[in-house]
Amino acid sequence: MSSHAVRGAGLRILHTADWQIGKGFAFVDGDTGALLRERRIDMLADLAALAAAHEVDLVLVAGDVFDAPTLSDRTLLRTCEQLAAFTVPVVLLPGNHDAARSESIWTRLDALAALPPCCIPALEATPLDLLDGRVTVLPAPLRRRREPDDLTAWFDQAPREGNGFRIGLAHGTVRNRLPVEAEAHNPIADDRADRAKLDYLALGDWHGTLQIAPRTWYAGTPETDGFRANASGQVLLVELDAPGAEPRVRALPTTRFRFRTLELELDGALSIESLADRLEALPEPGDTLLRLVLGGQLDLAGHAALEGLLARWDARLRLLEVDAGALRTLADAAELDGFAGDGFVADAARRLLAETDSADASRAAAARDALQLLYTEHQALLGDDA
Amino acid sequence: MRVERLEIRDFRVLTEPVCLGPFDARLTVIAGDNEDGKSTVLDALRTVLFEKHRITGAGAERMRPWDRDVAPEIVLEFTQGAARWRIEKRFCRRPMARLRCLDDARSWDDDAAEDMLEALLGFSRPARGASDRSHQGVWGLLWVEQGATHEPLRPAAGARATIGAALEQEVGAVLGGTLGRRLADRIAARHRTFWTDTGRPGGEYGRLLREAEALRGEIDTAATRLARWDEELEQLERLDARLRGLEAEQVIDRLRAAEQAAREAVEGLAELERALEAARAAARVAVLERDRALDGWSSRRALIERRAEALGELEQTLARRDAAAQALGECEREAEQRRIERDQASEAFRGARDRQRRLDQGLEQGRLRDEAEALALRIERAREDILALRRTRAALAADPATPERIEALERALRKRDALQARLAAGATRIRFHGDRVPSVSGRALADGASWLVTGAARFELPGLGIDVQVPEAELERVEIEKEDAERVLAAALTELGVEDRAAADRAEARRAKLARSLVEIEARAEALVPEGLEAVEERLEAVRARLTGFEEAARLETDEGADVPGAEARLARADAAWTVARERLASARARAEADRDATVRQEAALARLEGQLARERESLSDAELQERVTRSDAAAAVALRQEEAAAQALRDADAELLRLRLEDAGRAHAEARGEQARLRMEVERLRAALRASGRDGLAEAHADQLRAQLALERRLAVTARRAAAARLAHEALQAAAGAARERYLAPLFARLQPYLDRLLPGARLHFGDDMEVTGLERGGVAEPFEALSMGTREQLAVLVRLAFAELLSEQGEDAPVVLDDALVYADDRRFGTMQDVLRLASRKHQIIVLTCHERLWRGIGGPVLRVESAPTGAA
Repeated sequence: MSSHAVRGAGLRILHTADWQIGKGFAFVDGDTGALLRERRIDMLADLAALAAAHEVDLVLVAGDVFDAPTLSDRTLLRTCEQLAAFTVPVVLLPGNHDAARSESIWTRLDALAALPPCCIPALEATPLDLLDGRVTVLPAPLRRRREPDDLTAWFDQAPREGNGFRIGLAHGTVRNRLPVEAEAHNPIADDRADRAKLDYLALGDWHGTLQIAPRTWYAGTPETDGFRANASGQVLLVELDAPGAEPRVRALPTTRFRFRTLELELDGALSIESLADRLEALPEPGDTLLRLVLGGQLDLAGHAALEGLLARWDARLRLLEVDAGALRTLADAAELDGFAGDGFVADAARRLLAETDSADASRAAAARDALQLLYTEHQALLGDDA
Repeated sequence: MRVERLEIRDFRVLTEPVCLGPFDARLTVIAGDNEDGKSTVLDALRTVLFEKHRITGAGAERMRPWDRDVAPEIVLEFTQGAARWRIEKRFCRRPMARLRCLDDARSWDDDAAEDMLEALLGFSRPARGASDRSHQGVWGLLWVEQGATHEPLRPAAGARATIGAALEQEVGAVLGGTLGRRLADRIAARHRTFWTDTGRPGGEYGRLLREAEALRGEIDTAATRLARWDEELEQLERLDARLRGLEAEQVIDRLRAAEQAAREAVEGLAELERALEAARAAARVAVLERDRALDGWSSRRALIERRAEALGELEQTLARRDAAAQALGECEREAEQRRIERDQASEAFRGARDRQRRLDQGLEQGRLRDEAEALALRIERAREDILALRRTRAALAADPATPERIEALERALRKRDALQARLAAGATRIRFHGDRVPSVSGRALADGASWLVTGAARFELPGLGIDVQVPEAELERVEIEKEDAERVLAAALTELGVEDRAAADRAEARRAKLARSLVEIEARAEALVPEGLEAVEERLEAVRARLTGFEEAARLETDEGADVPGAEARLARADAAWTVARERLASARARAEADRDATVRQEAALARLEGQLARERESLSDAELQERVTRSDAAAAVALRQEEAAAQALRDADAELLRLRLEDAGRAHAEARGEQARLRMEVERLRAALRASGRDGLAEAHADQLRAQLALERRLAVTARRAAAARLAHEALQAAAGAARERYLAPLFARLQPYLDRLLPGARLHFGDDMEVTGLERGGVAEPFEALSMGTREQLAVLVRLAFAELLSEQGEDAPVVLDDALVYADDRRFGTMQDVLRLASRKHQIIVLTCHERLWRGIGGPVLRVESAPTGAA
């Protein structure tokens, strides 16, 4: 490990952000949602272990430590207990989710007096001299949920004392550098690191790991929290050999739960087998949340087989979301005859099949379901007779 | 199968052998009166075909006639297919069964016969016990007992199978077999788990919908709490900012200093106020001093003036006193003159009054004289009347014809006349004729005389005497009474002093005249002296006495005049003048007296004033007093100027403004402190409230709720989808089944509709899955079968049976329709229509009608068989 090379003169930082402890996961039903919420506290132990393993000097959390100002005391206390595992200073920056307002998570933590000594809430826009003056952290805490101005502007004028590292810490949106869906509030100039002559600008808010400039990085959230494909679930190990030197940045995976989206076009039994293979190939299905978007077409037997397959995987995966809105039913007269014969059941089945092509999408879907129901019940009857 | 012939013996009510047949291939009527055993014939038909000969127990016992230990026997000959058959059975005792083919002499006995019969006719018997309709195949449907024709027509499974086979032979397997039916049932069951009978979400689906609704309410509440938390946080920040602003700008301190400065300015005012107060007091003293000096001088001047006035008044009074004394003398003289005039007038008045009195007395004397004359005349006449009265009374008293006597005479007369009449009525009258004169009791009678025989009498004729004995004593007694009456009458006349009745009447008239005269005299006397003679006489005496008095006094000066009112008026005037003169005199005397008193009084007052003035001047002279007035006036002017100067100094200081400034500064300071306190309190309150609700974990609770909602909504979506699928599948199956049923039953409708059109033109029947009739549609309106009238239900049930039979017949499954006392609820028109239908239907298959109305069915065309004992033995 190269860490020893920078020991003494250099600086090693664990840059993370957007822990969003207490996040509700309202879009994930049942126990899984609760598990995801719990995980965001439990991961702190992993982060502490990682910090220890990489012998970092400092941990910077670039905002949104907590998800909301109205979390229970229990959540705060459990978080504090986990934070106690860190052995180096952990600078906690208020973000838009936990802005340092008149009454906030931070005032409550203060009242609870439960934060371990290693934790340094950066609640004011004033320089923090740490590690015996080896490093000065310039924080830009959010005092409101949304700030129209660039709160990092003061970094430019912040006096430089001594020869220590000068690290910026902020939470917001770097102008013109994020995907369009990113929020437009809390702007940060993309050249702030240069203008303020920072050795490194640690950013939070964007949940994926993203480099903005040589010295400017978004760490992303350490525990992936959605299906958005944005390289989340890691922390950044930032190594600085000396003030002014180019930082070396490495992403370290930390997430336990993986959010996957699988889009497939089905056509016949073979395609179902292929889907089964794809599912089998998923690592750690118990920690995988899968969104399956299905298109194409299946006959009645295919639908029945798909239903069986999905029922099995629903039990194996942490979460399975299926969007089969685009999956059509293809049943020809032969298949209908196969289970309905010449009687009125065949008539009903044909009528339903015709409805599956209805322009009214919900009616077409209902017709598909009804047809499938006829088919399934018929199969069950045959099974009974057998 | 077609029935050919039936023999029955010892079966239920049919104790005598009955033989029916041959049956017509088309329509046969079996007639019988009530209790003839007509329905028993149908029972026998069922029994011989469907009951095993070995049947025991209740099923067997019911076949025996009441109280008879016999063995019921039934024989049936029938055609099935092309062959003729005979089945013969005996039950209960020595049971036996024999089936023979009459065409080829094949024969089966007992159980073999039963099995063969089953196979031949295609039905199945129960393993044990009596057979019921469900075991009798299509016959159970087509053979209808009395009173059951109107019941809902529900073919049993066996019948359905037979008819179904016939239908499918025509239309093919459109129903998809039992698997289709089972599938439809499963889907229907699935449908029921999601939907209620009325089509509303039910079961798990309904519960989820309700839960989701409730959860939405809870989430709204939580969201509201969160929103309120945010609002309160915003408010906290606003208030906190204001509080910090107050502190940062040192607002309170600045306001406190301003208040202090204002207070000091106000305190400077007090000094000026004290100076003003002193100047004001000094001015008050100086003014008082001046006023006292002025008062002293004005008192002195008043005293001097009063003395001068008193002197003037005294002089006036003395002059007035002299004038008054002169006037008094004049008044005294005038008063004396008036007194003398008054005495003269008084004397004149008295003279006039005396003359008037004498005149009045003369007039009274004349009047009294006239009255005395009138009274004397009345007394005289009254005395005459009294004399006449006495004479008349004496005459009346002497008159014998008193009313009593007249009354007694009347009575005597009436009595005698009555007795006379009785004698005349009761006695025998004898009239004598001839020339010889008879005598009666010695009295001779003239020729032509008659004699009234009222008692014993002796008639004597010359040479002949006749004694008449009257046995009647009554007449004799009457005669005696009559004689008494005559005597009384005579006495009465005597008393009256008259001889006869006429004289008596005259005497009575005379007496009446006397009485009237008496009354008249009394009335006249009463009119003359109503008050009584004595009173009049007394009055006369009194008048005469008064006249005697006048005789002496009133003889003189009767012609003198007298002006009494004039004299009186003159006296009054003289009196008044005297009174006025006296009053004037009294007034003059009083004035003289008053003037005297005033003079004394005024002289005393003047002396007093002069004394007082002298004393005061001795103490302080007029000049000294004037000097004092001048001095005090100057001092007061100075003091007032000093007071005004002090007041001006105070005004110049603008005390009101200073005080207002102090007030405002105090209020501003207090308000600022109040606001600070309020802000602190509110900030603390909000902070505590936010912290408290923050501690509750609102966000996590809300997220939990949202997650629960998500789970619920997902479950609900899946359930709703399943429910929709179940409904759609169910509806599709129902529709398809309905359409299939229509197709399936088409052959049946083809047979039924012509009959139905005759009965109810344009109507259409609805059938259920089990071929049961469910309703009737006419005029576009569907009515449930149960809602139809009993007659219509019966007629429709018969039509459907005919259609079933026709369908089977055309498929070679010939089965007779047996109707026991059917169409009893039909009106005449419908009955006729139904008979036509039966007539038409009998061209296709056999119909047997059992009826107790032989007359109604006689014209139907088929043979009419009667339930009667057969002349020969059966079997």
